Amino acid sequence: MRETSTSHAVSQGKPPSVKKLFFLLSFSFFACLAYVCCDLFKLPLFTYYPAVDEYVFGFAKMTESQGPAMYWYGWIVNASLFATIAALITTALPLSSKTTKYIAHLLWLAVWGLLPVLFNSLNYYWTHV
Amino acid sequence: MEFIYSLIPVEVFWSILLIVHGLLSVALLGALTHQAFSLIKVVNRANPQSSSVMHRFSAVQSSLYTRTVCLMWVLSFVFGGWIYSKYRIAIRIPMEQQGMWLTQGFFELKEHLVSLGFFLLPGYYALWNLDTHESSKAKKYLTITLAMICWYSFIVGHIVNNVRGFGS
Repeated sequence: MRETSTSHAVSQGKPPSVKKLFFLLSFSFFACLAYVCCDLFKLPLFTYYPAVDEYVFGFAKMTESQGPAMYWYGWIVNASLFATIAALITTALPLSSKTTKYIAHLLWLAVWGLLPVLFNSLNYYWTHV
Repeated sequence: MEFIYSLIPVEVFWSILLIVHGLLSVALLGALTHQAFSLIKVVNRANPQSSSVMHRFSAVQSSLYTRTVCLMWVLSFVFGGWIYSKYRIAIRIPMEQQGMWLTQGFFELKEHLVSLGFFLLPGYYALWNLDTHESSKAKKYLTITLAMICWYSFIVGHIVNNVRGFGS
């Protein structure tokens, strides 16, 4: 039987730099926050109308001629853009091992912290019975 | 799309995409569950030669799963995002007409959680590469969180497909 091991890093070749890994950690954290903000404050980069296969820049409501509007794609792009900028700025700041440790824990804590917010944002479905 | 629709019926095309999405999700679910169990350390330390199912299930070199998990999540996410546009028209509207608000609510929550999971992947990959003692707990909790999101999403997606799949 193979030995249980969680201590080996994924990379087999040259290990990625700490700065690069910190950028990835920061990106994840800011992207989660940005995604929830985009949802709460209706901030998609674009609105997609699947019935007619049309895109409109920014937030647009459902119309009679275009059918239902989808914002999810726009939130994903917006959150990615915001997180990239925020992570680049954060990575440019001086780093300490404590910072990396804190942001690493913030990742999983963010999900559990944002879960009630997301749940509440769907209140329409829970009360519309 | 018109070319594809000329070869196979529309609903068959979307059903194929849904099946691919489901198969990718099964692979992701297996990899993440193996990895999460190995971190929880279900392995019987007192008896490392134990032949129990749980021991064998968790006795894996967990770091090997990281790239597979990232790849499977991204692929499943892309297929899910593709299907989502069709879902909005062909599935959600009839479900609204039937008043299935709770089912829709849990499905919308799945979409949010899967998106958060997608954004967590760079951080997850970084943590598995950091490999320091300080980051080991964060790595463990993040992997378990991703596994829980995956299980929730798989079950809810399956239920919605049972309620109203493509072509029904």
